Amino acid sequence: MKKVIFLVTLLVGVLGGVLWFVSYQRSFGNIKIVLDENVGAVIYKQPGEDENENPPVLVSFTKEFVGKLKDGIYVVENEASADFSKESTSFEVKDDTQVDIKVSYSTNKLAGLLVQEQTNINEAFTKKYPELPGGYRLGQGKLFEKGNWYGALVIPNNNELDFLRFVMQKGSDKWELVTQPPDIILSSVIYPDIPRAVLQAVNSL
Amino acid sequence: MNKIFKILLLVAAGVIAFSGVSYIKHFGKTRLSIHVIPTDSLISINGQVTDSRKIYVAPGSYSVSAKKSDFSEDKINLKVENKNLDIYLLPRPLSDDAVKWLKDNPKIQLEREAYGAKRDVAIQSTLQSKYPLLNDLPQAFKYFSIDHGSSIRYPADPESIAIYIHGTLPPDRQAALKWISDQGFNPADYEIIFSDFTNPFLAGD
Repeated sequence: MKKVIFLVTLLVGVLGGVLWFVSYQRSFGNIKIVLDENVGAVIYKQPGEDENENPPVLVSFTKEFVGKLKDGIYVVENEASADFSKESTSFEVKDDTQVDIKVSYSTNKLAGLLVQEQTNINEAFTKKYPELPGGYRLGQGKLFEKGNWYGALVIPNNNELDFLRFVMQKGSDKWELVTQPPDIILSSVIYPDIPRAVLQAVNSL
Repeated sequence: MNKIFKILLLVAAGVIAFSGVSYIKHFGKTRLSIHVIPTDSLISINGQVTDSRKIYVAPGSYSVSAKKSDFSEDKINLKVENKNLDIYLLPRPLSDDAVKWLKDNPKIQLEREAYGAKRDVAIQSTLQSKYPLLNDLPQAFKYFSIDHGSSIRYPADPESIAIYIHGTLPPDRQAALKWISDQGFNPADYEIIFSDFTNPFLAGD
């Protein structure tokens, strides 16, 4: 009798241990983070509502990180420099995760590029819409990411008309209007190919 | 007595072992329960035929379809997360024989209608989790109202909806967008249709 109890206890113990081990192993996911520029970045755990707003850095790396992290939500933040802006991207680690990060140019660099590109941008817009609807004028816009996205307003001259927005994309040296027609709000449902951050920035102009 | 106790212990150990193996086997997977009428329809998941009506899959996007001769193919695209799902597939009768079969089997027809109702509830629930703003709609204010309706962008997809904003003047439309933002939702995550707005760039089209 004692032998049976011992065997059953042992079996339950071993099974419990195996279950714990499997659960623990599976609570880690393989993660690969790739930045599209040779810049430094850090990873930290995304703080919860009541947690320290400056959580400790878990990993520092340049360009690429490959490793394991416990399941959860993390933030990767790249360093700011004269050429690149500091940006944070949240990601969830669950099983195998790959995060590709496009580092954006700094505000100063984008402003400098815009001076060179503005004429081409305006020409491309005018080619699509040779005449603006009555009561509207073209507003000054902004470049985003690597200077390959542009967003601006079409501004009404009275408050009975709506502000309209549009986004243009530079592909192989040519600017193209990618939100047609300009609209009150640009939705990621309608334009799933435009980065959400770009749409959000243009909707906030 | 001793013998009965030993048997009980062995049964308990067996149950624990079975549960442990089952837990490890299905760890991190979600159960899909497929309900289909006619019951002998051919079920495919992402193009792979399966005989089982209860399957365990990893989180991700799946296309589940039911096929049977004389019936139209019924297909559901779904995003599987961590919650177990019931899927109702109801191929529609196409031939006279198929229609007659349903007429001759009123019990099956009743079951089919019950499945249809459950499917509608499931779609509604999916809509509410996909578009959390729906839980706060409809809303009517003095100068604007907000409701939901069919998507114009994806009219054939029953799981796509649009947010309809009624507001005669530009400030009313902006107030509606602000109300959505104030509830913690990003209007750009939705297909927004301004019922009282004619886009000046489309005027004359």
